[in-house]
Amino acid sequence: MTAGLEAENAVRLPALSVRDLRVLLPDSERDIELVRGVSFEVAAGECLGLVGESGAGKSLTGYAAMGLVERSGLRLEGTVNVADVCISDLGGRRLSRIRGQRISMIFQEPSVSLNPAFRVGSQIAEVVRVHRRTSRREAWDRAIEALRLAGVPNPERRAREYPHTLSGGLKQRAMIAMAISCEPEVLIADEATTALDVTVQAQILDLLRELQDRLGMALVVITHDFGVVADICDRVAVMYAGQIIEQGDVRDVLYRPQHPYTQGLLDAVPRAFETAAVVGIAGTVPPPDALLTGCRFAPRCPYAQDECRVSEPELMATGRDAMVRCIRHSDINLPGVRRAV
Amino acid sequence: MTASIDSSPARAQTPGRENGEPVARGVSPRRAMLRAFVGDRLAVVALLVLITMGALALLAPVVAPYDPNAQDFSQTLQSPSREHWFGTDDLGRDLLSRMLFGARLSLGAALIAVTLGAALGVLPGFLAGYRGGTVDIGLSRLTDAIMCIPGLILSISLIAVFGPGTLQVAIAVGVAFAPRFFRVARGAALSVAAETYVKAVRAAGAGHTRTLLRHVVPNASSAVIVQASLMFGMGLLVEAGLSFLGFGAQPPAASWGALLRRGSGFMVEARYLSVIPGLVITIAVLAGNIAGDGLQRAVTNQRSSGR
Repeated sequence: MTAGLEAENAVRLPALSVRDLRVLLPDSERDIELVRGVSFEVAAGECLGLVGESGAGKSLTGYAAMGLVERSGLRLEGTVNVADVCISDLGGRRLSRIRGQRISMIFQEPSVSLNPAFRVGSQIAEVVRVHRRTSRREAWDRAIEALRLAGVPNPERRAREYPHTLSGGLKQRAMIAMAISCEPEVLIADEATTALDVTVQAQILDLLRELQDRLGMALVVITHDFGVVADICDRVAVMYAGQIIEQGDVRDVLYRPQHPYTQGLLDAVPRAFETAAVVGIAGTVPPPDALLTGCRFAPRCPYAQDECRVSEPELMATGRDAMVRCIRHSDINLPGVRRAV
Repeated sequence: MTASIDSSPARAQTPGRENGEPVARGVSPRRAMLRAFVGDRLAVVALLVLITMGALALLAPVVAPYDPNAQDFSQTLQSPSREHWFGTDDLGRDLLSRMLFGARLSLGAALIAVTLGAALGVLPGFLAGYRGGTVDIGLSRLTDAIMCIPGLILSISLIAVFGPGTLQVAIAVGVAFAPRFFRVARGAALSVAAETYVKAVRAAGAGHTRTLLRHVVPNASSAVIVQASLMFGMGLLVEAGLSFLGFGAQPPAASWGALLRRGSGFMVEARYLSVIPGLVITIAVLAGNIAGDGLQRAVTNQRSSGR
């Protein structure tokens, strides 16, 4: 019965909703905008990909959604809701209670994501004890169960080991176990597979998908790898220079991209059995403090015209749940991903 | 949220053993550090020297051959002999006995100074390094202000207020040490706070107090321990210096520095009176530094091979 109610709730409210999120670096003259008004929603059981090249602001968006910008001097604006709780208004203790319990995050470098001074199991058990009133014994059992769920073989034994004795893949599984130990509604995976080799990558992606199904989590996958996006995501938001420039269903974005930048990213994916050189995007991401008028991609865009440099384009809805930030999206015809020969 | 984590039945396993084979529990980083230290022969010898000195100091009433303050005017300024291993001073007191009792003052003062310095400096340092921002700026500027005053002058002025004596010297040196401990602790916490695992536990919902005490402190403390062992040698030296200047232990009690000072008056007639205390101070300080360096090496080795 509770499950039914929860399911009903999930339909009405997205598990994670981010509205006009801005990350500002206060500066003497004017604040530098690192993330420039990002909005997205992820429903329970859904997977959203955040893609973009380095410096696009995708990881920062993830951290900001968690409120993890302390010590950095950055300022946050906008609202972040986990189901019905607005966590961007919370601070201190109340925010800590949500983190790990309802929204969790895993990180790029599994080798430095676990505290080297403690046994793997006790770190996970600690998270359980932060959020749930359980005895040490129960927390430890739960930690082992989380490790088992995260596909760690022989979890009773692994739980008693120190992080440095584990391989990269196992460490990432341990991190995932820690993140899901309290069954959060939202999991943000920040380049969670980037540091792993390809076979382990695939296993971790399978694991994430399996856990998502099992726990009904909303998943946000931050990556620069379209392979990962194609593999696991339902929807994708492409970020450039701190903004979402295109958003939509994965198939649509991959096969019928509407923004030239998305096309550029797709062209830059290397492919097996193809002798043609990978085509990069000329130029670099403009620094966040660059004073640009018009479309921020215009300087690098092969389709740019004078009108592109006049004013910054809005995010325009182009279909059900499809949005693009390009005034020429209906004029230009982009080929999308080139199919393997 | 329908599926539960607690679904698998197999949970009760005998801890420590599994399928009959002993479970590899893994080596904790701290134990790895200890192992590296034990493998460092020079450092172990240095530590043993210090431990021996400490034990002799503690056992002084038992092992000392004479009352350190008993005067024997028939035996003044005797060179080292079978009766008086380290000789006697101008009042016929046995130097070995005086050195043994002096060790209590010298080593004790150094220990108190290091403990006090650590107690005052370490926690604010960890806090400043972990929290950053205004907390860091405030505490760091305060430390800078204290550090502007030369340590010796600071110690002497504190002694001027509280009067001479070993405890006063120890406290003064401890206060002068606190900023150094603060800086080391702050730096260590600063680098640990930037680690991903700190971000990870924050992301998992740990509060600031828990993050600081459970995750930052254990990983930053090795630098502080190394610093403490190095400061011990420095504490000995400063105490000896202040005692030499007459600020420390008051007669008839005498720390090593005070013995050195008294001996310096008889450089011609009885060289051993200043050479022996000087040599012992040198050995103790050197042992402290070598042990500290060994600890430092053990920490860095453990770090480079640990991950």
